[in-house]
Amino acid sequence: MKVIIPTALRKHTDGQNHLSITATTVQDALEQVVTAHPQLRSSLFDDRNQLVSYVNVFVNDRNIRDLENEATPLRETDEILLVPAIAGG
Amino acid sequence: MSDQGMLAREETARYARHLTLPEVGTEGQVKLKSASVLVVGTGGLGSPVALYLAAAGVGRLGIIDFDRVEYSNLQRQIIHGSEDVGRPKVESAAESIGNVNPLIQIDRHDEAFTSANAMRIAADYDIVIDGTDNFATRYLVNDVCVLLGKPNCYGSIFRFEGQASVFGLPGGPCYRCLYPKPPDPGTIPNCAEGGVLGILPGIVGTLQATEAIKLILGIGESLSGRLLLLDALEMKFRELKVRRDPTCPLCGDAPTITAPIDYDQFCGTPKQDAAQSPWDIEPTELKRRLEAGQPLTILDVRKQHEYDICNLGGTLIPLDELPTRLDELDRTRPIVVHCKLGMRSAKAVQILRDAGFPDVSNLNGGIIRWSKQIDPTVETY
Repeated sequence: MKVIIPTALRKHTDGQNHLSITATTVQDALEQVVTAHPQLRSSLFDDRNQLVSYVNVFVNDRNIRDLENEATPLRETDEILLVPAIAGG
Repeated sequence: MSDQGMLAREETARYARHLTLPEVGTEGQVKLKSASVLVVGTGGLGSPVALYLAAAGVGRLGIIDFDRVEYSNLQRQIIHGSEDVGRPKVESAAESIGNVNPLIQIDRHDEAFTSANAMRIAADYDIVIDGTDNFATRYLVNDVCVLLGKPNCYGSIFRFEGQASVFGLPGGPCYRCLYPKPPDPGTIPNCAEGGVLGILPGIVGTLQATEAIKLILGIGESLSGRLLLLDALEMKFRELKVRRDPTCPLCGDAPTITAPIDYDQFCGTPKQDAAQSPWDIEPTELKRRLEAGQPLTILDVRKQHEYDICNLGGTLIPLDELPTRLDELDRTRPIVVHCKLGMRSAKAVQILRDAGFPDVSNLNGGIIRWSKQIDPTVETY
């Protein structure tokens, strides 16, 4: 499955716009992503290892907050999007 | 017959293509004429929004901006021209809007949109467009719209990406439902630091204007409850569901925010002249040291293209290269670090101090404040 990396976070993934992983839950997926790219960790998790509230995680078109948060199960065809707040205008 | 109920001959000619559309027609055009929209910010997003809403015949447009036109705006802020550099943006924008459509009323608000004036200003309009460029004002626009019951046509941009939605409709989510808290300052770079494709606000702004016109006409499906994401490099639109959060402190079932708050505090925005680093020095102090001939190294941690616009003659080592280029700096000399506004240099000071450099200071407010307070011949951008 694909994890889509937004422009604002690509500096932590060597410019890659998506990562391909195999995971069973969102938590598993995010853990794999920050293990592969440790610099992403501080952009996604706070000091208490909670997801920061200014980055939304979507599975396909649904916010994991409206699903089962990090426990949301994943299928191979799912697309995971990291959507940080941006403010430019 | 009142102006509100009828269109004059010059209006029927001007809006002919609208009048031909069954979804608009004379009735719809009169709705547009009777409508009022507040465009907050006349920058990248506000430019196309204001021009298209004016062209479409929205009867009263409010524009609010405290800023003046700079050269670095012209790559995307198409409401302003080269001759407008240095003019108040509101003045320049009003002139462009008037050229596009002299039949509409333009309200100029040459001031910042703040917690003190936002409720009073926004109350006078049917719809608000969020064309701001910082988190503090975005939360302010959102909160004011929910508190006043006004739709907020939202758009924001960064590099090659854009977001658009409509917040604050009855039963729909607000910006806080999507992003309960702003990022810590410096976590997400702004367009001045990260850059933005000039045409991107053109795409996103026209989406916002489209949503405003649909709301006025009462046609189509609003973007409320949906967040549209644009990646211009892939040229891909994605649509995500956004639900109202019943626990939202603003629009939830038991709201705790009942009036605008202190958004600079909420977003952790550094106040002007406030400390950016424990080792700040004021521009006046740097000037004094230079005039006294004290030995020091000025280290500029901006990018090469920024250095080319203006510089203080310092050594250029961009912030992201600094950790690997420390040996290029003389540890025995005092170092004053600067960037554009003081945020990147504050990080650089910390890096140098952590690496054992004993005397490193941060030029508070960066080269922009230096230009304003010490040497106006230094170009700003």
